[in-house]
Amino acid sequence: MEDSKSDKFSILLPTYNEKENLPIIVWLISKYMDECGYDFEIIIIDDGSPDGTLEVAQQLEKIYGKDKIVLRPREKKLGLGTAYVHGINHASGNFVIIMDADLSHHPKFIPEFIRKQQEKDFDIVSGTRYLGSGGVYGWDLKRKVISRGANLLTQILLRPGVSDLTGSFRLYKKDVLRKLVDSCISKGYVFQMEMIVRARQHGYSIGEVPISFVDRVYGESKLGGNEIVHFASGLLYLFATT
Amino acid sequence: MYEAASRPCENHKVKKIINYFTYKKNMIKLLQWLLGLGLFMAAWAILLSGRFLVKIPEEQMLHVWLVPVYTLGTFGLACLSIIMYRVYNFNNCEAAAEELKMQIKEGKEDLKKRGFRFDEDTLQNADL
Repeated sequence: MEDSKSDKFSILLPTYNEKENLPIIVWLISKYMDECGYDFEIIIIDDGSPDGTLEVAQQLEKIYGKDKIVLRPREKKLGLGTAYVHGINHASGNFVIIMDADLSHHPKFIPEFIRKQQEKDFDIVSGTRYLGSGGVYGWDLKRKVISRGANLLTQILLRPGVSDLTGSFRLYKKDVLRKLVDSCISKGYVFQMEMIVRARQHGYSIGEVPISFVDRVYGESKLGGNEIVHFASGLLYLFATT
Repeated sequence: MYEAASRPCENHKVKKIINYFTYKKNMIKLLQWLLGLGLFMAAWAILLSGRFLVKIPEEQMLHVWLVPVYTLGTFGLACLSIIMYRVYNFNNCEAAAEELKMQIKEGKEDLKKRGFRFDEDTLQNADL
């Protein structure tokens, strides 16, 4: 096994109007990473939030230091894929962790991801809501049925060998993430799906860790007709190209 | 296996089609499904013709005609029961939500001690 002490983990946090959540998520990440003694940095990519997320981030930078909090804001809202590229370009770690900044992904799982990665030197470790102790909080029956139905349909059509395709809480080797982002063109959470499906296609190894997904404590969570159409077209696109 | 077409021009066309349906020498999922469907149709056609391998009594032929319906029905039922089972067993992470709420409070207090300023808007939300 490699010496884990020399590993550094860059955590990418793309944000848009997350001023309530950002201090808490940073506090939690720092707490768990320090407890485990992992070297890390948090790269905050704010896409010009009008609510003052950037100002909050600057305060955090002062408290935690410039080596831990790296601010890489952008002028306006651009795609998720370009946010990742932007983040990777500024990441000094050899591993990159991507998570949502809205507290639905709990940083306590990051050390578990890292242990999983070291187990078999996985290229990617993906959080999963659908296995073992994984699950969700704050979803009604309808939401659960849609989620499970969409997941089963995806499993049947694409057979990706990964249980959670639309989740975005993952750890990547940095060069692997760079290659994947380059080969993916979808938007939104279909992008997450494409990343993991293409990862399999390229032959990267993927480990899974069960996570609990606590749906937005602050702010609104959305699942409308638009989302479903977006998902269906994404699924067909991957069905016909991978 | 790609040498089936003898004339060069057709060979090129076949290659083009194969390229379209493959990615890095693996069949794309669509092609795998079409292949599976084709095999199924072929087997069904053999049964329907009643000329090869098996002879099916006239009164059973209706069922042979209905094989796709039966297959789809069974598949649909299986999917439905899997979804129902999985929805029923979908963990509700109550404890995780509780823990997070506690940690939000804890985090805010700790950050304030370190000099972080939450604005009033946020303070109101803190009691959620």
